Amino acid sequence: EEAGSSGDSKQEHDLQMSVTVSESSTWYEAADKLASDLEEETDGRITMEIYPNEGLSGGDSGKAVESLSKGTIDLTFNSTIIYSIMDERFGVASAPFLFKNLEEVDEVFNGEGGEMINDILREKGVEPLGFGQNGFRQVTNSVQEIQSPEDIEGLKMRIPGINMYTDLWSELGTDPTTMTFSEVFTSLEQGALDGQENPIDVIHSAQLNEVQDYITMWNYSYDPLVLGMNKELFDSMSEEDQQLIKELGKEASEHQVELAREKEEEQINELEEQGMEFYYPTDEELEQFKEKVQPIYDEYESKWGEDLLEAFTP
Amino acid sequence: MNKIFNYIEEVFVVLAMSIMSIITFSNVVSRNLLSSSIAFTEEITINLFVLLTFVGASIGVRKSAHLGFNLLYDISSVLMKKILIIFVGLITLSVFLIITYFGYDMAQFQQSIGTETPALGWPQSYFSYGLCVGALFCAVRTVQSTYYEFINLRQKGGE
Amino acid sequence: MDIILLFGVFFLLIALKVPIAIAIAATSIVTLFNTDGVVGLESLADIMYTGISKFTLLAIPFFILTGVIMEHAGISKRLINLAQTIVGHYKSGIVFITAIAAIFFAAISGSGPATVAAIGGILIPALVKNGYKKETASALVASAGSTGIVIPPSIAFIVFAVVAGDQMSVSIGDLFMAGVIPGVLLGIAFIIATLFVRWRNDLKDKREENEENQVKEEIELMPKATFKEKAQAFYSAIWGLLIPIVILGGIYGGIFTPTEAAVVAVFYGLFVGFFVYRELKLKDMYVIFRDASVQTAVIMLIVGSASVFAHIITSERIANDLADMVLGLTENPIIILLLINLILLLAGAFIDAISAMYIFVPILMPIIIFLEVEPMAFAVFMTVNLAIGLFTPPVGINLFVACGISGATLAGLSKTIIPYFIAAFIVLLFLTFVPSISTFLPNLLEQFKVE
Ligand code: NA
Ligand code: NA
Repeated sequence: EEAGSSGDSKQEHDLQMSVTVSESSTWYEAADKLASDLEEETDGRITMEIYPNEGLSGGDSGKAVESLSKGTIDLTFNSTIIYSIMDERFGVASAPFLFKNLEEVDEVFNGEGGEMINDILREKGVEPLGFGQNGFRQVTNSVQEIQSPEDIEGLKMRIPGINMYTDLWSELGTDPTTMTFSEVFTSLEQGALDGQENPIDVIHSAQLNEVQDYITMWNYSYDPLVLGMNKELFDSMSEEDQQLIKELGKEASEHQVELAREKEEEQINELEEQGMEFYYPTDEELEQFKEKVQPIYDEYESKWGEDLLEAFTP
Repeated sequence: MNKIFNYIEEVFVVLAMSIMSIITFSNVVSRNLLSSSIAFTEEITINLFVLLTFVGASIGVRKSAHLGFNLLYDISSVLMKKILIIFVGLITLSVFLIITYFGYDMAQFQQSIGTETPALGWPQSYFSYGLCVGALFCAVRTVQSTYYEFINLRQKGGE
Repeated sequence: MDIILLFGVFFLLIALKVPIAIAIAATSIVTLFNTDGVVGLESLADIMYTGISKFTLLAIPFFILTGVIMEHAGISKRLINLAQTIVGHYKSGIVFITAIAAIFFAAISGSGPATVAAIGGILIPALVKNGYKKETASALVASAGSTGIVIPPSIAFIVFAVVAGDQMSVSIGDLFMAGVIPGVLLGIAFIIATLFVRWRNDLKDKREENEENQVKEEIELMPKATFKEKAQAFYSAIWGLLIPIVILGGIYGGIFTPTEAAVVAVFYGLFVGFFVYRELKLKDMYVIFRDASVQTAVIMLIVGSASVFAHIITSERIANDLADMVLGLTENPIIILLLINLILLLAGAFIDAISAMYIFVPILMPIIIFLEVEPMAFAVFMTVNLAIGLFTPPVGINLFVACGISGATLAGLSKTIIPYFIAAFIVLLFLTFVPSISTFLPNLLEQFKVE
């Protein structure tokens, strides 16, 4: 590449984007939209190759985020949960029982909360182009319907390998374990695990309904995606290009959110048809859960920062 | 001096392998028998695994354990053998030095943005510096074994 | 990116005696630099690091460690003894003993050379005593040892699952099951090959050379073992025989993951070595752990550099281009599958199984998906190709280990190996075109699971 730090508006860019999940995902579809929009708007001057399954970082999302920050990957779609290995403050977005519904989520991410996360991203060398969604994380298991904190106690749960979740699930009285996701299906099938938690999209595409009977729609932790670009690369581009990328990036993320929400409804219907029992806890029951995990807030508030937590509290 | 160096390498891999085994086994036991999981410790294991690889590879250089194709070498003249030994030595040394350099680069970057291991929150850069040191060990061993190989050949050639 | 450059540099370096792991790394470095300059290299250490630090791959050191422990704990000699009581009274019984002992040990060890090392130390001298040339003995043990990566547990299957996992999820448990029947078929093929070699060369040579020098054998020419002897041998070997049951049963019973199964086998082996057979001493531990670590490191350095190579194949879209090229030539599945086998056999002659997995799985996967070949069957016939590579010159690690034990030379072996190659090739063709040989067992178990 030419040394175009001043931002030559004619400069060609051949971008590489890594996406955590497969080609059939909404993440990929949105990335694909961004790629074709960019190519169209610039008559092929800016192109973008997309690599599904975190193909640019050997399947490792943590490394993808690190490489994005470093500049060896140009763009990624990654959850803030992954970003929290670079800065604990990102964990605030997934704080337990923070949002009741998607309206609250949108309000926070389009408001001060979103802006504060964007600032932290820029600190870490990532230019945020928009927020997508992996969705609310829901809990499934094969033992019994989870309605109250008592129902969950003692279950062997597979959780993400992030310390906030370990603390949270210990607080809930379960026996949490981290495990490579590729091994989860078999472990659930064989009974090495009782349950797991993930957004509907993941539960559906991994066909966990075949090995899990119950799902509780408790929206306990929101999982947002960041469409991020390496900041150094972004800053090196011409102003017009920056403008274009911001605009198209925002459209692509909004498109992903729209797709994800449509798809989630269909996926819920399908899972129900295939015999999975859905339980929607009452406000009272949610309050019980929230109370149970209060120590997490006591412990993490200082790590997230009071201001940030406040901005994220709807 | 050399003996101490050997000893450090060996003790390191023996310890690493033992810790990896014990942690992973404890995990199985705790999950199946004690009904409580210490799975977050898996992080220590996979990072030690990388260090084990590079320090073990260094012992491997010393013991000529790395697999290769010797047929052309075996039928070469002594002069050609000498050239090949130097050539292979230089390539191997360059590779290990490049890995050392970019390993250092990786560790520095991780330190600058503060990357932590996800479950335990340990600085990831510590392990990356470890990779760096391991690769440097390999480089030193390469120089050493190339030298011995060359000397041995000269002695044989002189007889 | 020039693919000719990639492979050209690689094979040139290998030809000049650069170790495979280094040749792969050097090639990758040149290519990264060639594509993006120094910036391209900035991901080098990251990719190596993530390539190695995978939980699934931890099964590799643990299965290697198990193999080394079993060797020291006296399990291999008891397995050989059992094989002897079963088939020792047959004519050429030692051949059967070797093949069966190899299969037994392959069911404990995940690697080819480890299998050779474990049984070769006892069986190569025994074969030679029985009048087999050391070349024949080495060839038999080296080839029989290649079942180590076909019969579960298998490092090759683990690596396959990891590499293919980028494109589709493959269960290691299923792959392990898929390897059982093909591994046993290979073992049988090698017995037949040895009988052929013996019939053609050795008996004649033995008559010429050894007529006055009659050596009394310890192992062959035994009377048929009595039931009691068989029972005793079985009882004594049972701790070893239980290992595959612990491993496969544990994985299939949902008690542990393949990686955990591997570490359970380690502690099981230590238990047997210290408390049952009492052949392990505390001071052996240093040597055991050190040797296993070095064996591990040699493989994992390859994994690290091959990950970079695989990364280049992915990020430069080489796999898709090659797949398009191949499918542009022909879409006839029989021709393509034969071509794949040819390429893998050729690759296996020069490079080791792990490197080949990293280099060729990403390249071949699009073609395999296009042909709708069952991934499990592909994993098996690809592994068998590379298992053959373990004992085909010029680079065959099983041969190196066997020659190290017997004192035979690689040159002397090259001809002897041909019948073994042909025997394995016939099995390979069956596995390629009759996928149900591989998929039968995992599918059967699947049905049990559903019920
Ligand atoms: Na095996
Ligand atoms: Na070979």
